[in-house]
Amino acid sequence: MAAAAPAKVKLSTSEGEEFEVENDVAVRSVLIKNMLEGKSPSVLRHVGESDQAIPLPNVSANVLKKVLEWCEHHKKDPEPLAEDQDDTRRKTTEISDWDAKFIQVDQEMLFEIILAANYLDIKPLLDVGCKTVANMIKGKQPEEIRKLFNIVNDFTPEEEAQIKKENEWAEDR
Amino acid sequence: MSRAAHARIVPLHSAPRTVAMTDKTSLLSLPDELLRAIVAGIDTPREQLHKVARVCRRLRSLAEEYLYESITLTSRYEQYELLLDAFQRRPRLRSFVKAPLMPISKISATIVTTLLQFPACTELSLMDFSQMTLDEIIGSSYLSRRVPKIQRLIIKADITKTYHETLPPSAWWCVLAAWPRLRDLELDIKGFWLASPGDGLGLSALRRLRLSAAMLPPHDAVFAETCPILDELSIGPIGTNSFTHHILSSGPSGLLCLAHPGKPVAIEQYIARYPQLKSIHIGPGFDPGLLLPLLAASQIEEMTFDRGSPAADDFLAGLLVGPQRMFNLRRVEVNHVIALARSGLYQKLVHDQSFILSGEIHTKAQAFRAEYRPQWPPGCTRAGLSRAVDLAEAAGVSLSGTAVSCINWDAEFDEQFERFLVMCALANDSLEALVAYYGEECAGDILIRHRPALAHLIVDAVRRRHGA
Repeated sequence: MAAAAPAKVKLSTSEGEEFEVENDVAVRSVLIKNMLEGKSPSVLRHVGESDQAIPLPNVSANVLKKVLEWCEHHKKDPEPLAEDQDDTRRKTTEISDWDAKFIQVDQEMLFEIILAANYLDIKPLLDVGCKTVANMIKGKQPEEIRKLFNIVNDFTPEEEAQIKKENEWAEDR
Repeated sequence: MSRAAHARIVPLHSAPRTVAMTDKTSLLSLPDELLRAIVAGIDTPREQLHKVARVCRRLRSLAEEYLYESITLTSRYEQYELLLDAFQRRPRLRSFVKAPLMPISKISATIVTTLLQFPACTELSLMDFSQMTLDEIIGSSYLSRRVPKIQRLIIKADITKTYHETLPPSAWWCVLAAWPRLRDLELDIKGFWLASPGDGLGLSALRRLRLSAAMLPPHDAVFAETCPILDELSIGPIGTNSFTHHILSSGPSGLLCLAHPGKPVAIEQYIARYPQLKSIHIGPGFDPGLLLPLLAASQIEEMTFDRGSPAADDFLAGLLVGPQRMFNLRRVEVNHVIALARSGLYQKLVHDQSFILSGEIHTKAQAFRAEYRPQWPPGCTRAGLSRAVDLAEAAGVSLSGTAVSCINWDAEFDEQFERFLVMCALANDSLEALVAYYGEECAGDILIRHRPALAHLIVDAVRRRHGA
């Protein structure tokens, strides 16, 4: 039987920095929740039963702080339904005013948040991050997208012309 | 986030940085699964996916998956030629096609039959077709049994203006019955009488059927034999009473969800036939006194009452409390009160702006309020619905719907009217109506509440000026 969930949880970042947060904030992360419930690999089963911090080697302190800020604000939200299809959910995701303000960060932090949300398995935060990037892309021409995200055009002019022709059916006329 | 919340998320101790600094994280440093999630969020317009595909090789492969997954076509002829050309040049694209949506014309019949042969194509939505072309697609092409993979078929059309004279209506069902994987069928067709589904062969895999089409009078077929494992049945407002009776009186007893909003139907005559029902959506025509005890004995968890439903105060209370209470009930939606939604109310005010501002503002507001006040059906009152909300809360039932939002309609109207007058004041650079309605002092408070940033800016500017 899983041990009773502690009131507070310690989390250790990639730099070894430790954060202590309330349990209901930490369990917005399905990864952490599973660790606390003993569903994770045996090496991690003892976390939550002792004073030991949960290691999060893929998340840096500044990113974790930001992610925990989101978890704190959303700690009372209902959990996403398991049967929701990822793609359907992402297409219909609407970003709340609070989330829109929260995600107003520089690009590097935005992508770090997306990576952390994916690693920590926080689907609603991942959706907000991905939808934000999708919204940044919307309405832009290929060259504008390259410029915005510092992407090198690796097509030859011939290839570019070919792609344009192949997918021309999708252009609005 | 509050300061208190921040305070709980402070590092306990800082360790020396031992992790090497890596390159800056960028869009293309994300793994494919995350890039795919981003691209999935660019659902409209489809043209944007075409633009993303032209950015770089990596984004091309991801964007094209979604671009070709749900191909949406218009009736532009050259679009079909270009698409077929793309499939010819790059056969790999065929594997992405899953759920095409297109208007049907003589031209597009060819491409539909082509797309349906692709390996992943399991859903098809057809819009605005001519009957002749549809017959061609559903009939001759499909009888070749080359497209048995379709699981979901949606046909929406108004064919009142088109000529039709080919496949006999009853043959439709025979053809559809030959699709062994068809689980979900939606027919929303106006202007044409279809044969009753019972007249064809059995739709053995069908789980969900939504009919909004005029059906020919049924013969002696039993609907339960036509659709033996149906879970969800929705019958739209088009159709004869004899058709509705045929379907409801001979449907499969394992039905879980039944929807028949719109046309009047004495649903109490059929409820006992469906002991496993979990959800029901009905409109006018039922007898509350007869229905209530039948509902109490049912397993129904979710109910929706649409426009015209005689869901009076005592009926709603009876669902939630007393000897005929529905113990399994979890959610009730009541939409039987007719009223403009919040956004609709504001839009109406904006639309009638010149009329409202043209005379004495109190009189105009009163006239507007009277004109758009919710229409409560007989036996339904605001007080009765308020009581039902309280009873529902006590019983652990979620009670929602447009009727519930009408309980505080007057307050809602006041809020929207205030918002409207603030908008008018700023847009027309005139405080006349706002001040006339609320008085000078209140009007100032209202402006500050609605436009705090603007108010602060003005206050700061005034202070600076006085300071100077």
